[in-house]
Amino acid sequence: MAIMKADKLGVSVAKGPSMMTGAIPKNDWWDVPAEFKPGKYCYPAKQEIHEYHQKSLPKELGGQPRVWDPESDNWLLPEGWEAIILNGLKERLDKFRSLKIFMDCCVRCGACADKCHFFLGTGDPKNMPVLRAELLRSVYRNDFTLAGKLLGKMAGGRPMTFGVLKEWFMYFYQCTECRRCSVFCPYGIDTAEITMMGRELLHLVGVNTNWILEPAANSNRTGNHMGLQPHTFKDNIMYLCDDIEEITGIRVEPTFNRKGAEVLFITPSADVFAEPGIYTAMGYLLLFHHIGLDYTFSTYASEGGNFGLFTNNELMKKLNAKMYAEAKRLEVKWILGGECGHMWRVLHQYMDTMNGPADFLQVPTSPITGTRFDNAASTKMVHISEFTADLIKHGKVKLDPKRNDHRTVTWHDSCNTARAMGLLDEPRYVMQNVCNNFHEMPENTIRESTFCCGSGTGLNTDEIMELRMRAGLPRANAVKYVRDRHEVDTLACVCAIDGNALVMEGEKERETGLRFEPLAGMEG
Amino acid sequence: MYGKGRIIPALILFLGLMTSPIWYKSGEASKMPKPEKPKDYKECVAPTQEMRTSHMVLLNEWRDDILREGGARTGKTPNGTEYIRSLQNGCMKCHSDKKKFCDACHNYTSVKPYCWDCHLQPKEAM
Amino acid sequence: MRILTPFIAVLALIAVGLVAAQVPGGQALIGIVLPYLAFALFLGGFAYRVMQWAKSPVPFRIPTTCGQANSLPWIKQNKIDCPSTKLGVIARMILEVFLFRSLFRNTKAEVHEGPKLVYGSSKFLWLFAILFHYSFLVIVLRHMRLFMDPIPGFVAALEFGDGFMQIGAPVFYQTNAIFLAAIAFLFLRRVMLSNIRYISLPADYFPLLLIFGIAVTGILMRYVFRADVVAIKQLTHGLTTFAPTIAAGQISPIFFILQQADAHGRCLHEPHPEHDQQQPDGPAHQSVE
Repeated sequence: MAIMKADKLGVSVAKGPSMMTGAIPKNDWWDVPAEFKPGKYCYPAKQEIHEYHQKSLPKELGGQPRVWDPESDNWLLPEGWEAIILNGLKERLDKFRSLKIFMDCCVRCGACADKCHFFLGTGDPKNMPVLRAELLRSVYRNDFTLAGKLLGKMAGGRPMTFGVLKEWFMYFYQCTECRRCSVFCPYGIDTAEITMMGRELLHLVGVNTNWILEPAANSNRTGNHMGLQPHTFKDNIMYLCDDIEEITGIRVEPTFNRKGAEVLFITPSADVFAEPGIYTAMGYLLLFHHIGLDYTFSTYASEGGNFGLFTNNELMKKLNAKMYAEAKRLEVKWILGGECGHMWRVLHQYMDTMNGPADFLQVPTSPITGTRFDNAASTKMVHISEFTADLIKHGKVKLDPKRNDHRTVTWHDSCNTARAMGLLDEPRYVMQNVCNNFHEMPENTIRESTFCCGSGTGLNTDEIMELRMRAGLPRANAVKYVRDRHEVDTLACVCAIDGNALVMEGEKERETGLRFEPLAGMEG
Repeated sequence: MYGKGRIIPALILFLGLMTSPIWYKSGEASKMPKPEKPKDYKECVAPTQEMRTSHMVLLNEWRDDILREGGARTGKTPNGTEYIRSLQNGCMKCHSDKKKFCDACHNYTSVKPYCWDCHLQPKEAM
Repeated sequence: MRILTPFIAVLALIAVGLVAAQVPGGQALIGIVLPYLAFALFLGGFAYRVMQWAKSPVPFRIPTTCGQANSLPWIKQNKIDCPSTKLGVIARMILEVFLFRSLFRNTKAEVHEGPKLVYGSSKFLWLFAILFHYSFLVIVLRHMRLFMDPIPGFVAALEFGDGFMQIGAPVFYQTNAIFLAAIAFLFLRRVMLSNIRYISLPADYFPLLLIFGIAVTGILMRYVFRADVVAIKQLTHGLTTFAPTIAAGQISPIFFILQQADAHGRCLHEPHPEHDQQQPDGPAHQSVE
């Protein structure tokens, strides 16, 4: 698993033969097999993790637990796996109109081609969103359309074969479901939906990755991805409180599983467990203490993130359900959510149908400012940056942006909060109020056109480091641009996974550093 | 079926629009134009079918030839009859009624020639 | 192969038209039977496909948000790109369907040494797509003069506007030239750009070539081979009143038939998604927040 040196990687991106550098493959795309080599794929789920999931989910959703090797030519697939996939596809076509239309309506105009960060970084034709979708669409055409049944290959149809399955496993795990391509598609085709369906189908025949299934198993068992048990979860937060006391002299006293609190606060478990998330969590703790918020943590709904989103709808629904279950049990009025992009995608676009409506909760109203969050009237869940922006607007927090004068900051919009929520100006308002030196990255790389950090959808695993570096290139490239031009030295993100060096100044929250240092070096 | 309330009416609207030529004035019988042919003359400058499809090309040729190239003002039919190459003095000499001849087909197929932007319309048509 | 097969298919269609026009009964087949069949298939296929889509539910509200959401009252919402009302959704859809707004955002990315990524504006695809679709629309509407009697005012107005340069006789229509240029651009783009060529299928070339064939034969019929418009209208208007007549010997035989064969091929070709766009239930951009 040799990782290419950063400088060599940089040369390879700009000069190596790829579609980005103008090299045209000799063979048609359906004649180029997917080859699994170390560093090109995520490790399959451990058998015991897979078995654990089989206990709590319908067995047919996950396929047969086993030890298998993506590099081998025998993946130990179940008997009749092709039929399993085709039946699964039919079931999903009947369940989701979006999938049906996305399968039918592409005209291959190519507007999406150079919008994908994976394509920009690898130049692999199958990372053009259109071809990624064609991997699935070709099978759809072959078995579900009249033209495909009559004309087969001439109509762009392909039978479901092991070769196709290999392509799926390779390229549906080189998509972070960031949806940047869907912004540019004239038909609004959403590759994230296609990747989700592709991954669901792969799971049906037991093709999966450990980096996704293990956190999902943890989350199912303990309520969070890290597998933190209630006492550990509490201890971790109390350590953070000690640190806070040491730095600021203030003792904050958060509560856990307290019935009757006004607000339930849910954030990804990474925030209470590892750097840089913990700095963000310290920010939360200080902020809530300062404004005197009546809130509680839950040691069960101790995770906002939802790796179910990266496996299948049922698991997503199941992992998401604990939020409302805990809100109900603790009799809170509404839920406040911390960062984490894909958590917000689930909350904003899926939760209401999957586990709502949450009639037992009230429309969120800030107890400090009295602002009613009518945009959250249905889900009853407010994003921390909306909440904080409202506090700042009403002058409820005292901020000294001068404390951050040693930093020049830019803002990275997370894909999901930007393109699945429209949360763009709230964090910018917070930024304006906490620092004096702020510069935006170039227009094509922010807001709804923001680039993925390259590590979403359960692809933040080390075995594919080179792919991640390549996928992170467009974002890093934009960061480098503002670094060179405006001497920006801090990349603020909404998500801890995206960043790595929080700047903690009392009330200020979520200012995280640049995780791209290795990449920045690579570009230099 | 989901979203019937919007999809069915929209579909009906679409089908209605696409078939609108069928519904449009369907009560009225189709009237084929019957251009009135001159009684006194049997022969035109070219065969009937050619005149039907290409008289406008001929007129344009005459105009360009006479006005811009100084071409001859008269021509001969295949049978040797001499005629004047002119809309007003040639064509209209036989086909004297614009309304009953020119307009019959032009109106039927929505053709609006700009001949009469410059030429004086024949009196009876005014 | 991907271009050759559809090209041969279009040539074959033209050949069928050529031959059938000479065979006894062939004119009636191509002029009367096929038009009804093709039109019925087109309408039926269109309705079938929409109904097929409608059979699946839309469980989640998953539109891509392309602007600031409705949030705090003092934060300016982008009411079109991230709508929270029905009106906003309709506005977003109208702009998308009629002005191809997403395509207007198009950029072109290049990688340079460094590695350094550069993004440039790239609006040609949008421009030619708009030109193609709107000149197509004008041409179809202009043809209504052959299907309606008396001819509605808007058709005459369109014809006048389209031919206002008054070049030649019969008068030259700008949309014809724009239409040909736009198809040529869309076709050449597919052939010349290596990545677009790589993703293109026969199903992408076929409609382009077919439409090109229809346009060229139509233009030839008007300016070169000279069709008898009155006889054509007698047939086409006859079709809409279910009393079609083919005037013997009056229809300039070959190219009128060619046009017929081609246009039918086009109608028989599976309902093209472009039309489906007009459905108010367009795919992703629909839901209210």
